[in-house]
Amino acid sequence: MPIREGLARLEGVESISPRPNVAEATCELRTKDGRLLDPEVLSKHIYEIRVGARLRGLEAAVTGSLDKQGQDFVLRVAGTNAVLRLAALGPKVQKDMARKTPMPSTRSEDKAYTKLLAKWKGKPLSVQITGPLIRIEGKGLTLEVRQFALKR
Amino acid sequence: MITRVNRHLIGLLALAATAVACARGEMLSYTLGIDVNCPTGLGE
Repeated sequence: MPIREGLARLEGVESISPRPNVAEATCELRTKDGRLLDPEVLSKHIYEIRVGARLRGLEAAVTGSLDKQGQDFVLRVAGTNAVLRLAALGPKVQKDMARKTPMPSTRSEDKAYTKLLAKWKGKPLSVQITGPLIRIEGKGLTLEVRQFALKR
Repeated sequence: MITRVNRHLIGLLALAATAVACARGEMLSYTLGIDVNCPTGLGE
């Protein structure tokens, strides 16, 4: 079964980009009603399609409210109860196919998390964040900040 | 004329409408990084 059909079978998937980004070894996906995808569930699902494909990473573009929870900065995902812990950018999901390594991050991407936290004035702030979505043992889902845009 | 009961009903309906509007999540899109050993069928 081609991977496209396999991905489309995953519950909640609305659409998959018609063509992959071959240069970065990525493809785009949207979920019905903007549902949250768990990277571990997706990884297992792609492995079980059994076409020799493996999920290297998952990046999400999410709108929500920047808030602080204990010592952690979090994003409260708009319209849901989901809370994503925020972190600085690690390795990017996009791959440099020529070098077979993660695409290097730009200076602006490296500073995005620090710049976002500098906007925090002690009350929730509406923001759209794009970055790798990972599950960290004991800390739950974490969204690494690669880019952000403040919303009105 | 809006009775007291009707006012409560309108309030409940407004609350229900808000709940439906908020049920939609805001995960706008995902980028999947996929490594493959062979053509994936994604459209290469």
